[in-house]
Amino acid sequence: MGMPVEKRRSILWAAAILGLLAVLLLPLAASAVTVGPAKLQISIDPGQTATGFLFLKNEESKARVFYPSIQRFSVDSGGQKAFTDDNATIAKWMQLPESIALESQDEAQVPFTMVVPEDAAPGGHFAVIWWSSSPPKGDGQVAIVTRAGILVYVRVSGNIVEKGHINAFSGDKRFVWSPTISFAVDFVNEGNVALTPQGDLRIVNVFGAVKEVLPVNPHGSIILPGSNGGLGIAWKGSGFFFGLYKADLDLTFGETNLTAAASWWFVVISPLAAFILLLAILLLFVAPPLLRKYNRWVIERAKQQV
Amino acid sequence: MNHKPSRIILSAVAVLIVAMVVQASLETVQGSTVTVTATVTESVTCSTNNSTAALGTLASNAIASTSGTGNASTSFSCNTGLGCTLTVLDAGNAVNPGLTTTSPAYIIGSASAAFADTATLVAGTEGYGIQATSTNEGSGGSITLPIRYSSPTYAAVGGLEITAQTLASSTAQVASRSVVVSHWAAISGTTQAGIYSDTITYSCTGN
Repeated sequence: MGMPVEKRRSILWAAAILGLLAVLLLPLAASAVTVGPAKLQISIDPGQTATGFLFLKNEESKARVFYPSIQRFSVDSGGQKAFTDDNATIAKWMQLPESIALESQDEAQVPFTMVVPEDAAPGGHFAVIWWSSSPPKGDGQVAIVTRAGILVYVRVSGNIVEKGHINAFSGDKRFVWSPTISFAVDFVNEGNVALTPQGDLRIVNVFGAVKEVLPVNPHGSIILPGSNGGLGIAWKGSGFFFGLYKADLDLTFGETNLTAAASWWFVVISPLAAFILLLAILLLFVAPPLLRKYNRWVIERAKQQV
Repeated sequence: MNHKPSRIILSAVAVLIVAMVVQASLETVQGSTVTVTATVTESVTCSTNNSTAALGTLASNAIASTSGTGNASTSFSCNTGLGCTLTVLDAGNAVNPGLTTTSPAYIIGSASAAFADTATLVAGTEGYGIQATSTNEGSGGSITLPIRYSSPTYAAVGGLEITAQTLASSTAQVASRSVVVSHWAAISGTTQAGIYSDTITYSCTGN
């Protein structure tokens, strides 16, 4: 005896819905992880131990085991972070659980311990703590691993050298029609610790009056030792600007509050101001002779009529 | 009738007491300063829809590539003002990037047999790489992709490296910005037969 038509239809519908759900949910089941903080900064003495917690969340639709791995990082000549395996220094100092099992959407505060050896070199040490779920196994030739990293900036006390300077400072245009300039700062870190140059950029007119003040590096971009760091400042002036201006850059960096300064001149020629100037030139230099000429013509004509 | 004045007085007193209590409560509420503090931890999220990419059986008369749902779509989020970066790293044979087989050892180099940074693949010539495009998904700051990986030309791929290469980056907070990566490969008539594999790692960090 066969299955009733309605029941068969229900089963077919259920199968179709499950199939659709499977198709929809499969892409979510690959790999997804959230880590925090994005950046960890630690100042420590040789021989000391630092402890803390990292944030880890399983963003996947099923339970996963997450594994940490640590690499050292530096900055290459192109300004990009270069990650390298190096078990001799900072990667060896960090102690983390071997793995963390998390249910779907669960999160954990993961304890870490950093033991800095007595003979640790003073200065900056930089690492990234990667978190990723277990490497996948599938039929495809190309296996895909996804991971998220926490950048770790460690400053070991001792013979610290804080040294840096502004290598270049300029705007993208010297003459502008409207007060909109993108300023770029190239800062060189010549010391042995990471530096975060911060300060302000003042737009000053020819009379020395400060028209606007802009924060420089408000989010705290870190420049590693022996590297250059670019800081961008986008300026869009509000109000009336016309003439010669100076952009004064003042930076402060390091725990010893070192300073660096630079300036850049530029000219704003706004269309409205240019029109007013043109009008003024006309009124001052062109109109009077014409008026005099016209007066003479009127007088001459009057004389002729008399 | 005799109770009426006392009831009125009692009611008045009760109303007065209730009014005083309410007034006092209101004063307490209005007078208190509640300081609300909250901390939002800076975090980075990395997510990829696929855990493998299948290029199928490679043949010297065709260029193989992934497409549609076979592509790797990586989305990244970060709430740091400096933005974040998505990098791509290739395992290759640990010395050079590419698709590898072990018995006997052979590598289909990325992006070309000479391990060039970029290559436009043609059937019959060995090459392997990726092409990436950004989507309109997500919110926050915009992301930029390097020219190396974002050529719009058919089969023009960016070479993978055994050191991390920037695939996309932002200079501000982003939420679920996505990069779709297609994988491409081509072989020659003399490419060593075998089962080839590779591991590509997509990594997200703050800037």
